[in-house]
Amino acid sequence: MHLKHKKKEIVTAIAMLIFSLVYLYGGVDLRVGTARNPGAGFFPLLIGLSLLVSSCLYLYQASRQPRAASNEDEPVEKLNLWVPAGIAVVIFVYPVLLRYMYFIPSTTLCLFALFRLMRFKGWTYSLLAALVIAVVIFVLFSRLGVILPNGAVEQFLL
Amino acid sequence: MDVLVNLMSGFAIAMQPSNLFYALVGVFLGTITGVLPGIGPTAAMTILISFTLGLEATSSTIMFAGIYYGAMYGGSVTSILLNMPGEAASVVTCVEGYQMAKKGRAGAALTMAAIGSFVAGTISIVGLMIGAVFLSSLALKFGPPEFLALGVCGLIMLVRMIDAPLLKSLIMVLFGMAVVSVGVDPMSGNERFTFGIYELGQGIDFLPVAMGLFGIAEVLKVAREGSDDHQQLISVRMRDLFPTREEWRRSVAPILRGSGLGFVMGLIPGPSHVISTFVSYACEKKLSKHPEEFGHGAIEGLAGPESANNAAVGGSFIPLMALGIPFTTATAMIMVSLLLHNIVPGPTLVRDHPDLFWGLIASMYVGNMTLLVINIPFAGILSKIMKIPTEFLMPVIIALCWVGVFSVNNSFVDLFILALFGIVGFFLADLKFDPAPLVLALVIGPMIESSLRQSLKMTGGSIGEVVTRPISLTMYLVTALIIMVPYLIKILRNKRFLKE
Repeated sequence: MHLKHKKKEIVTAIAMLIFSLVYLYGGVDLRVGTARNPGAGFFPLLIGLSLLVSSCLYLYQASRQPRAASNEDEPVEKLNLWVPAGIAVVIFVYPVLLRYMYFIPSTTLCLFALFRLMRFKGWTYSLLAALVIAVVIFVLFSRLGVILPNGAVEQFLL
Repeated sequence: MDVLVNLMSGFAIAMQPSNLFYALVGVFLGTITGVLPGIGPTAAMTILISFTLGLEATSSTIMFAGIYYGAMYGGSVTSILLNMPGEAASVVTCVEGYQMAKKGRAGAALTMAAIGSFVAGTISIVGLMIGAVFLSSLALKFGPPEFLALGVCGLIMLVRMIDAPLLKSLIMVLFGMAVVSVGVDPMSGNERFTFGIYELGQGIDFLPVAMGLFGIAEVLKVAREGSDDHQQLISVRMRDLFPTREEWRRSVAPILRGSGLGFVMGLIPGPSHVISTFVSYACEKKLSKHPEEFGHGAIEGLAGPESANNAAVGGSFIPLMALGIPFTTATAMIMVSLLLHNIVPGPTLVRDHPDLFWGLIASMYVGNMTLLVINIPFAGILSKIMKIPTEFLMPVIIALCWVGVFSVNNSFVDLFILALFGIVGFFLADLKFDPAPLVLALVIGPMIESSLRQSLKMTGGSIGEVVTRPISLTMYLVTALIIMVPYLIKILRNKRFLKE
């Protein structure tokens, strides 16, 4: 997938604009107070308005960007976005798995998925490496006083 | 005299076997992580912070400072042996160090980098001892308007100094301020932007955001670009480790100059250690009797910048320790490490926690010595670490980030925040958004908000009175001057050009 630089900038500017509007909306119920006695909503209002103005300026700048600056004439490398997309999915899924499967099974599964995405050795090697790393991390950090979610497997190691 | 007595007690704390052990482990871990290509000191610190969480405050800070020093030196190893800078501050080391390595002087380059770092680190620690104590006694006189001025001026200077478009840096600062406003307002107790999610009531922690922006985003970038297995790794032989007499002679003055320059620049907000290396390089090139050698392996071009880099570390600790304001992302990480142990850095740190302050100072001497002792003989072994495949390393880094983030609050929401900011950092990096302003805004944003509100209450809503208090006004004027100077010089040069 090839994304032109100028379009990326415009999309980002719009995202910032939406964020600032949502932020301002989220602060509507907060008491702004007065300059003499600023309330909880005073600072968010200042920040929200500044962000709105900055995002508008950014959108304006991005839309006025000349075509040459967007590197359209230069050869565009074909970037491999499937691997980072896969990694992003794994890191989003991990907290859900961690909650229900506890540390070692969830970490092993996710590390295995990451090794496969990064094309590290073969399937068996990746699975073994994932398991060993998950166990080592659990034991090491438990010894350092860190409390990680533990079920039957982890209790056995502790 | 008091300073000496306190320093001796600091050494007594730092030389306790457990603290000595943690300093060594910190330097060792930091060096190994810093050696890994693409992992700079800040990313190394975010990844390794989880190792320090289970320790008590003094030991944790000692270990974490060791990680910082070690990671800074580790970046030099990749620059010299692989022509791959771990971060911007190592770019100059690549220019001269790699050229020296190609001529068979890799060992001498590594040794000089280590020795320069040691001397500069030692000099900057002396400056830190004196400067932090003096500044913290001055800062006890500061009120909310002065802290507001410090925070605002610090952010303005940071935004101006970093190598990113001004508007984008400003947006990152505002974005960081917006993120930090999530949670319970400390002054009124009202919930803000929590959307009914219980965990967000505690606010968005610094660590998941920093680890996402520096750790996860880096992994995603590496995954997109793929690893380069064709790099030529230059091997280092023990017998080539020592510089020649001529190399020693040519390095003394650059090391001393770099130390002074780096220390002063370390006081400035922003990427001071990066700026100090470029300034030192330019200075050495101008002063050198062999300017034609620059770019082809001039030892002055390595010794000076490496010293400046490390001296800036000591300088950057002063605002953190004395004022409680981190002006760099690395010191922001150290501040977070202290806050996690319920220690608030600032003017009262030296008075209320002298054991921690002087123990840290003394451990920095120990850490510097350790760098020299461990890293010179083990340079060859360290270089082998670079052969670990990225396909193995990146998932391990992600796992360490998971553990680090979860261990702070035992919160699953923090893991989602880590993932979110990892993706945000990945997309924004392409568009030249620097994460440093966002990270610093996260750390000093609460101070800026509370100082602003308290100042307005104090002055009955008069912003003029807040800005025109003597110390605050001085800070605003100095900041304005520093920002305007480059433009004024440009205008004067244009006028002179037109006259001619």
